[in-house]
Amino acid sequence: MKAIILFELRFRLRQISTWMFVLILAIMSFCVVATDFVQVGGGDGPIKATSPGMAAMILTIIAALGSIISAALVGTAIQRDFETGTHDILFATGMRKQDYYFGRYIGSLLVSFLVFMALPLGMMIGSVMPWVDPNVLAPFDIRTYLNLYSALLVPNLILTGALFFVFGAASRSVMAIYIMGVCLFVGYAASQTLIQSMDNRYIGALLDPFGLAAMRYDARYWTVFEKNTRQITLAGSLLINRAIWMAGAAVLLAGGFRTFQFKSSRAGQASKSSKGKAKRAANTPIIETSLPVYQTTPLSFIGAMTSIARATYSDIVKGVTYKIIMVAGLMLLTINVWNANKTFDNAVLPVTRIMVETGFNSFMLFYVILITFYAGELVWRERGVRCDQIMDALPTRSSAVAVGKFVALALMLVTTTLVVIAGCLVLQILKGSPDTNLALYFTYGFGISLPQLFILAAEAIFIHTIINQKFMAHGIFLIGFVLQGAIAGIGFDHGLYQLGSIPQVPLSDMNGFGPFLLPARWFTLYWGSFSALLLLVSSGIWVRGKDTSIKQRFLRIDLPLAPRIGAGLALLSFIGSGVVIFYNTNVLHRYQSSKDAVRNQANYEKWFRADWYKKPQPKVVDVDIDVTLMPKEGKYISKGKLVLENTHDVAISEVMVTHDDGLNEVVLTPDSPWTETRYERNLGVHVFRLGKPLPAGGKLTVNFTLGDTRGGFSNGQQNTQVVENGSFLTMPVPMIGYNADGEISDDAERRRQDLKPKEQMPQPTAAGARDRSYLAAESDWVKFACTVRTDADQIGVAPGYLEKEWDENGRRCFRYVMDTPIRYFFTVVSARYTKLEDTWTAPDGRKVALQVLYHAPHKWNIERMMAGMKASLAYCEANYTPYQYRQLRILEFPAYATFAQAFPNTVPYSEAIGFILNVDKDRRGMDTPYYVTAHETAHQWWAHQVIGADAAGSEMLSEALADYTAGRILSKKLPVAGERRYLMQSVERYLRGRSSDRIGENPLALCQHQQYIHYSKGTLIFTALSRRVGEEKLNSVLAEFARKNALQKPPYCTGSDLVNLLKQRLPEQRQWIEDAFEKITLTDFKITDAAVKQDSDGIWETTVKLESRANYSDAKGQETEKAFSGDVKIALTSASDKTEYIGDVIAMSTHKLSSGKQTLTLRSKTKPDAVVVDPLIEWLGRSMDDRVKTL
Amino acid sequence: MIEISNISKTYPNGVHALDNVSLSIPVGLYGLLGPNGAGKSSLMRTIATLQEPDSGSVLLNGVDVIRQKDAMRATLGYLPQEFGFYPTLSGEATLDHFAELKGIKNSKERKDLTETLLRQVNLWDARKKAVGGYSGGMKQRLGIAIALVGNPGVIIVDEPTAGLDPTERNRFLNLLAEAGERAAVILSTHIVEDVQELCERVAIIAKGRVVAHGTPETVIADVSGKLFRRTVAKHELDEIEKTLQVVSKRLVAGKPVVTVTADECPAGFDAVKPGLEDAYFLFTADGAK
Repeated sequence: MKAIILFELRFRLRQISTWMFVLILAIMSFCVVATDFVQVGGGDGPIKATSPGMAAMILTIIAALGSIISAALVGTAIQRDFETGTHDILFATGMRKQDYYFGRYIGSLLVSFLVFMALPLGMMIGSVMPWVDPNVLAPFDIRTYLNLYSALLVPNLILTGALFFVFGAASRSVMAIYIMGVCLFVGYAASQTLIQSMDNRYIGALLDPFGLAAMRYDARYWTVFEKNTRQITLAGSLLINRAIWMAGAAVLLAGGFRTFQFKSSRAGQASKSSKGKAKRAANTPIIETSLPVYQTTPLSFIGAMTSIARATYSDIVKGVTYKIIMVAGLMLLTINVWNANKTFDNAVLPVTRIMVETGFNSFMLFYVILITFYAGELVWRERGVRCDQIMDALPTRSSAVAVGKFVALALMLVTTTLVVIAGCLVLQILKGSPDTNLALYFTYGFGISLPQLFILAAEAIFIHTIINQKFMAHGIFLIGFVLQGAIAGIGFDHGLYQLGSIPQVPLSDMNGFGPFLLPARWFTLYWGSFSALLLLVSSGIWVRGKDTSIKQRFLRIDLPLAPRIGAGLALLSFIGSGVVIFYNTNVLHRYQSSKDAVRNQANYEKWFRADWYKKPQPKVVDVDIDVTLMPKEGKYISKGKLVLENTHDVAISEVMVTHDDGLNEVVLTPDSPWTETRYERNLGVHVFRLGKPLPAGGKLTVNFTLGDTRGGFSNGQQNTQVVENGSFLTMPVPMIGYNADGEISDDAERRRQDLKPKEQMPQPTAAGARDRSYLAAESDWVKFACTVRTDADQIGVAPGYLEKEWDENGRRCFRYVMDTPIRYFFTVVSARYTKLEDTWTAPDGRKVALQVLYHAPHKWNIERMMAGMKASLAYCEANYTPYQYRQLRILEFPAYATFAQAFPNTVPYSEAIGFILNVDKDRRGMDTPYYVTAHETAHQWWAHQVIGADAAGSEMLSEALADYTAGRILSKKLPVAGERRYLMQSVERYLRGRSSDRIGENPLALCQHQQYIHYSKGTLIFTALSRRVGEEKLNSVLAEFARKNALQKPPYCTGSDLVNLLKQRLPEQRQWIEDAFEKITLTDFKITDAAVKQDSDGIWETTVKLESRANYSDAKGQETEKAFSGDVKIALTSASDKTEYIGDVIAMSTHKLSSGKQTLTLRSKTKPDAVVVDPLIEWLGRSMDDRVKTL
Repeated sequence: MIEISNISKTYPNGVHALDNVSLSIPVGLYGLLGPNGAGKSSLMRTIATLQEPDSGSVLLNGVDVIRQKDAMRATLGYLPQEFGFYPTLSGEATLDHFAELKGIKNSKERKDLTETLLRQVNLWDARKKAVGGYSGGMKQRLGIAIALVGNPGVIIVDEPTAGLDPTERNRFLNLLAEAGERAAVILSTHIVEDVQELCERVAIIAKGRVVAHGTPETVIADVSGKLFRRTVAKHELDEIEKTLQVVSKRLVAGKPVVTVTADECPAGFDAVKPGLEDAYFLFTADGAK
């Protein structure tokens, strides 16, 4: 065996290809750290590329992509002998089967170990290059590389090597080896999908053959600090994952060895069969017939093309490769479509839109594989099967052959698309389709998806024809993809030169293909024409006969008249559509690359922050606007009047006015003259010098016209503010002053733009912090009225009450007036709505009109939303303060965004999140539409009555309190287990959020734009406090805070004000409140042992040994232990399959716990299945799994 | 029918594949004899329009087929030395496909022709089977059937009988002979027997040059009186090879029989009445004229 291993090593190390592999891998990993050019797996965040986890992830992904190298090295180790026919000689040498089989495997595996060592080496070298910014990388640590190599790369090579080797040896076909690669990938994708849905996280972690999911699972709650410093080790789920897969590899190898035929079986068969035939032939008498003579005239272009297409098509779809790729693709599609979109744990109803988008997206990769593979196969088909000379000597036009092959490829893609549609349809029906829309399947599949694929297919054929070197052409095609992304990354992202790039067409039930269809059509025409041209050139220089040099082929370019005319037309249409696109993207619209967009964002800060941040500006006090929407054209004009007032003590001489930078109609007319001293068109920023300074208390009225009447389309993302059905136009008005929210928040991007790290929000105690609110800074409370003019069949809505409705010039017009002051924060919505109406009556008899305006087919959850509004209104009125409006409306908008947002008495709500959820199916009683509606309704208090200052912690006042309120309302419908499940989602989001925070974790009372704190931790802390002191008691303090601060003028309240009030009113909770709100405190309980026994009275006695400990954490996650002592509830439950889901509570009791080990005894009448410490998360901690123990 | 004048071809790697070759090929069977690498395949590919010569011309009934390749392709049946077919397609479908590409548009006619040809090459029973499962001989026969489609005026077959058993070979040669009644059939082989049995004309090619051509009889006549043969003992071989120009050696009943060429009969040798094979050896031997 040693000889065989050594032979394999020497053989491979002498081959140039082996060293090419080393070079390729080294360059890739080098580039990831040493250049901006290549990015794998996100990168760029607070977790550094060379941190243990990130480096492991990046290199494992590269290694997975490089599976093809492992296939080439290990997969071919035995297959090679069969291909070259040396197996007969080898088997005759008398060596033992196991020596041969395992010798080849181990030998080639060792080579792959050596080759893949290039990955860590490349990264190590890259990380010490002088030009690399050390801030981007973690400090050099050799253990990082040793660990990832031994824990991830090597086991993965053993596994992939075993797969490739066994199947290569069994099938003796290179194709089988590559197909194994595809299946491996599918397994990987499947485990990624599984791990994303919460229930199956752990299984998903174990299923990932490459171990990444397990590594992430183990590190899911690590803080940024830990992720940058803590080494990954072979322990936890990673260890189990590796063990499972290594065992799998061993089984595979053993099975392969058993079935491996150590003799030249094929030769035997062949000689037998040919003997039989010879006999038959000898028995057949020689027939002396003469051949019939038929008229032969060379086929027309069309005839020959059709014939080639037909034969080639059937050749593809009958082949086993096609079937295997399809099966693999359908497997992935099934997994993805079956698990399509979960929102807040409620499954989405299988509406056609979701099926179509998920189905085609998940199959996209397989389309690309099919195109890449078959374009090469088809161009090389005759040479591959060696009938090229026969073919080339036929009187068939090369152009007919080339075009025929393209048509065959296109037909294959059509067939594939039909299969994809059929697959999605079957799944949709199995899932219980609410709206099977065949037309959408076909228009999307054939109208949007296929044309792009045809373009790609033509490009691939062209590359194969011109390169005439199969594997190099494959390489160039794939590198082309990467390069395209890379040049877009450095700012060259115009669709006119991004080869074959067709803009995406996101779908919406409300708005169909929306504004995305027009650019997709033009770009399809543009690149389609270009591809036709490429295809015709390919057919002219098609390889025929033995003179294959590119020069020879161009010299005798062979194109009949019809294709020449075709090429001419294609060229004209290419240029023509290019002109149309350029007119739209660069003349009608302003083209800016993504790079330019970021630069503009940086410029806003660089040019204006120093002078304008917090500079006294007049505040908006009165606004009356008249918005004309033209939904069909995607245009709008907003005219109106803004009254500004100087509420400061000093006179104001300069005003900064900002609006959407995409507007083409901008008129700003003040009632007292001003001069424009600066206008940055790209930023939409004006600076005006007032003719005479505005004195303190003085008013200035500005009449304005703002409009976007450009029509057409832009290069990148389309504007979805005004669309055919479902316009959602927020703040079509001038904004005053500098807005820090417009600054770049990503630190890495800021470094690139030479900006200092982002300024934090001011502390509540900072001077002037209370002068402004954090929502709509340059205004306090405004008087608001709005006219909406829209299409005759639509309903237009804005905050306020409908005062008048009329028709004018074929438009339907609505006049809304608000009679109470609101934030300077509103929106205009319009669509063809169906109404659900109801009334809520307050205990004092006030009536509140309720409406859900929805897209007619989306009727499934509207009653739940209505119930959510009522429940939330009732809860908030009973616990806090009266509702300030007489009406509340929910307005559905298209799926281009997936949120709901609370405006005064108006809640736009995305069609993607609440309307199409399948609530009835949830066995835990989670009702997301009800909950989200309750949350948005609670914002009418927490944001639209009480708004915090523009200071750290203010978001707690709106988001944490709205979510706490919604959670309390929801919990009334849930059993303990259901409530725990709901709370655990917040725990999960909090722990994940803090483990990837870019600016460092803040205590709850000082949070800054950190959703995982102001939503997730906030709701947990307020809920825990309500349990400690009682819901009513806590709510009475919140009500006091609301009464004190509702609709207040500066100075605004802060999060700290609420914390102080809580401390005053709940003095016995002082320490707890301090730990929860003002510090980052994590309390963990670990059940080390639990046992149950029945005593003589039939009572079940459960003995629990547990350890308690608490830590304070700093912003980066470094912890210091603190003494813990507190009351903790412990529950005995009937079943506990998971940490998230605990089953029914049998008994619950409260215990005094403190730091260290303790033993407790619990009693119950029935036999418990599990012990759960702190089931409703009154103590937030990191190791939730340790708190549950199955008995 | 085919006039080949002064064609030369040098490959990019420097090999002179064809060196000023001129041949005139009439209707009937034309044999090309020559050792491996002599340039037979290059010559046939050139006639079949699959590669262009550096210089010289190939005329088919007066038409320059290097310029107008379709003139040749429209009437050509070509079977290269090595070939294969789409493995998933059945034999029948393969033949039908090529028949259509050769210009038999009527599908009924194609069906009849396919049937006749498949019966003739004894593949009728295997017509539904995918070609991927065909043995070497079956593939060869299918190739021949394809070459014969469409009443070709020129048939070029490159070492076609190599993989065939005697019965198949016989059947095949009969078909060629029949085709040769109305077409120019160019047959390359190094089985001298094939040529001797069938071909009215023959050319012997060595190192890219035509070293002899004509009817088999005239080629044989060229060498008559120049060849002498004797049975020798093994130890004599070295001596003979030093002194005489040996054309061929072979064992007969375990003893070496040496054929030499000389102007006069060397001592101990007998004059040989030459056959085509002897001519072939003489013309292709090292140092031959």
